[in-house]
Formats: sequence, structure tokens, C-alpha cells
Amino acid sequence: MSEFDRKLESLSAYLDGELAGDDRAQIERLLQEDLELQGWFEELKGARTVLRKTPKLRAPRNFYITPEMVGQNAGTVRAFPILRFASAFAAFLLVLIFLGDLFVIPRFVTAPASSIQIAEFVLEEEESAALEAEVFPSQPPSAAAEPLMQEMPAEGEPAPESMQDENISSGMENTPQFEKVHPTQLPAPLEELEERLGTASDTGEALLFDSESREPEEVFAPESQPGVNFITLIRLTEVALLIIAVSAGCAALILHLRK
Amino acid sequence: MDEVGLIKEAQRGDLDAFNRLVLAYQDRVYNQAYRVLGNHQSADDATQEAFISAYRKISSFRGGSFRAWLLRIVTNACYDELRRQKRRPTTALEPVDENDEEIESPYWIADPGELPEEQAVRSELGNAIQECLNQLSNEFRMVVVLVDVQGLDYQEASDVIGKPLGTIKSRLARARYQMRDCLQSFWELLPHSMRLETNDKY
Repeated sequence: MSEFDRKLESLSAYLDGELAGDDRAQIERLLQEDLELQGWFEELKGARTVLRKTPKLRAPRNFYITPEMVGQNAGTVRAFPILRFASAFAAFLLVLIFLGDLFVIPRFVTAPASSIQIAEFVLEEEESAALEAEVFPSQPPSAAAEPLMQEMPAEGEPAPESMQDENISSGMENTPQFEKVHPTQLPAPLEELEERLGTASDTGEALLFDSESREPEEVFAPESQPGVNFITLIRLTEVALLIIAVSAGCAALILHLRK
Repeated sequence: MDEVGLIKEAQRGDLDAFNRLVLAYQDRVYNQAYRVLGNHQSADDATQEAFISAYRKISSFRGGSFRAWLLRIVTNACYDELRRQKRRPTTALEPVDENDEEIESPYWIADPGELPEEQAVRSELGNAIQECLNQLSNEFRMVVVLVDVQGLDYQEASDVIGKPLGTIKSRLARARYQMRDCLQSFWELLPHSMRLETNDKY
């Protein structure tokens, strides 16, 4: 770079306030001493003044961008914000319902305590009866046992006075009545009993989890059925919202990547 | 919605938001293209290409001066057009005067608040300046238009062109010196009022 070019560059930068420190002090000193340099400075200043007065042209037309210009179709452009909103809204509803599950569902799952207790008691009694029947197979009542059996009231009928007294005194009014067995129909010897029972736990479990036994849920009070339906409805809604959120979000992402 | 909001919406794919930015900046972008390329048809093409390119690259804008970012895109579009013109010289479609120079349409430089005499002065000055700009090299013309016509500072011009500050200073100084020589031939043609606003040399 020649000396002239170097001074010209310094003058131009000084004119724009782009010189600082020692360079600025030096050029100011030179301007005071060198008349020719002052002449160059004034010419640069004049040229800059005229250039700054260059007329600002207005755009001859609007340069709007259309979807076709950028490789989009109008439907895709309109669909993107809709899909984006649908995905976000569905995700928001899904979160709301999921949070609701944590607080609302347990109230429907938890049935009234008295109903559970009754159901469990009935189930236990049925299991005991089944075990009893397995261990002590029922035999047609003997002649000696018939009078006793005849005295047994039919279901729903009031017990005879004699038996009522017995029941009251023994506190058995709330317990199921087992079939009376003649002393001659005592259980088989122990070995035979074990063979029939197998291992106690296996038999017990087989009796407890008999396929014919009813599941605890089956003995729920009828009042709890609408709660089950509500839970199912919520689950279905959750699945539907999840599908909507994922599919809309994927579609919006694909549209975004295609741009 | 403010500019930052429009940019964010445009980055999310909102074409309407981007077109509002186009409306705000199209005059400035067109000015840059016209002052660099020297004719309206080329400037029109470069401006449209610049905005299409800007929309496609909007996600790469990371903040800062959106004006400088746009001017960088239109500068690149102008370089592309200049290379294209070098390969295939074109004939101007706008009417030209006896010197084969395009006549600036009064519509494009019209200012509703100006008197006819003022419009004529501005038109004369614009033609003279453009004539002198056309005589500069592409690199010098680009810098002087960015700094003296568009009003960018040295750092912004450096960011737009992608050259170091020292290069900007050097090219600007030499471009102004060449412009002063060219403008002197037009200076006597300008009205006295225009000359009075500049330094005593002119």
C-alpha cells in the first residue's frame, strides 16, 4: 500500500469516526500541518455528503412470497399450524387426564368397606365349604340322622323353637348351617386323607383358586358398576388423545422437515 | 406484532409473518440491489431471489441485526446476478436517454410530499450518482453503497460482505476518492441549493 493510499484510508476512517487513540491524534496533527491532506479530506467529505443524499427508491411492486415460490402447496402451509396446535392441545389434555387419574380413579377403585368385608367373608366361607366337601364327602343322610335333618329349617323358613333356642344359645344365627353327619361317617384314616388332599398348600390353593369360585370383583355391590365404566371411558380417552397427539405431532414434524 | 415476534413466527413456518417482514424491508433491499446492479430488471430479479432465499434460510438467523442479515442475502444475490450478466450480457428493458442510460421512473422515486421541481432535482441527482457508481468495480461499489447509501457502519458492512474491517476501510476510501472525481463532472449541473449543502470544495 502506497503512502497516498495509507493516508487516504486514515482520512476516510477519521471522517466516519472509525479512528481512535494514537491513529486519530496523528491524523489530526497531519491535517493541521498538511494543506494538501486537508484538500483530500474535504473532497472525501463532499463525496460522502452527496452519496448520503442518494434518493431512496421505492420497490416497484410487492415482493411477497407465495407457497409455490418456496415449494409448498397452500394446503400444506395452512395445515402446519393446525397440526401443530392439535398436537399440543391433545398432549395438554392427555396430561390433564393423566393427572386426574392420580386423584380421581382411586376413589372409584376403592369400594365401600362393608361391601368388601362381606364379600371376603362370603368367599372364605365358600372356600371352607368346598374344603369341607372335599375332606368330608357328603353322603346321603342315614336314618338316624334324618330326624335331625328334618328338623333343619328350609332356607328362609324360621327355625323350629327347639332349634332356635339352640342357635341362639350357640350364637350360630349368623353362621351357615353345615350338614350333620352320622358318627359312622367319620373321615377316612389319616393316610387316605393325605392322599386325597395331597399337599395341604396345593389343595388349599386349588380350593381357594377354584375356577368355579367367583372373583372378588364379582361380589361387589351393584353400586360400584358405574365406576368401572367411568374408568374404562377414561382409559379409552387417554389412548385416543395419545394417538391424536402423536400422529398430529409427527405430521407437523414431517411438514416442517419438508420445507 | 413486533419484528422479533414476526421473525419467530416466520421461523416456525408462518409465511404471512415473513411477508410482513418483506413489506417492511423491500424498499431497502430493492435499493441495495438497484444501486449495485444498475438496472431495474436485474434489481427486481435479485430482490425476489433474495427474499425467497431469506425465507428458506430464516431458521439460520440467530439474532442481531435483521437488516444486516437481509442485506447479506441480497448482496450474495447481486453477486450471482453480476456473474450471470458477465456470462450473458442483457439489454435493459427500461427506456434510456441519449447516453444509453436508464431513465429512473418518476413513480419509483416519487415522494408524495415533494414539489415537481424537487422531484426533478432528485431524479437528476440519482441519475448522476448511479452513473458514477456504475463506473466503480463491483467490490468498491458494494462497500460504498452499504456504508454511504444504506448507512451501515464498518462492522456491519464487514459482516455483510464477509471481509475483514481493514478491507472495508481500504475499499471504501478508494471508492469515495473515485466517486469524487466522477461527481465533479456532474456537480456544475446540480442546482445551487444542492451544492450549498456540501463543502466549499464543491
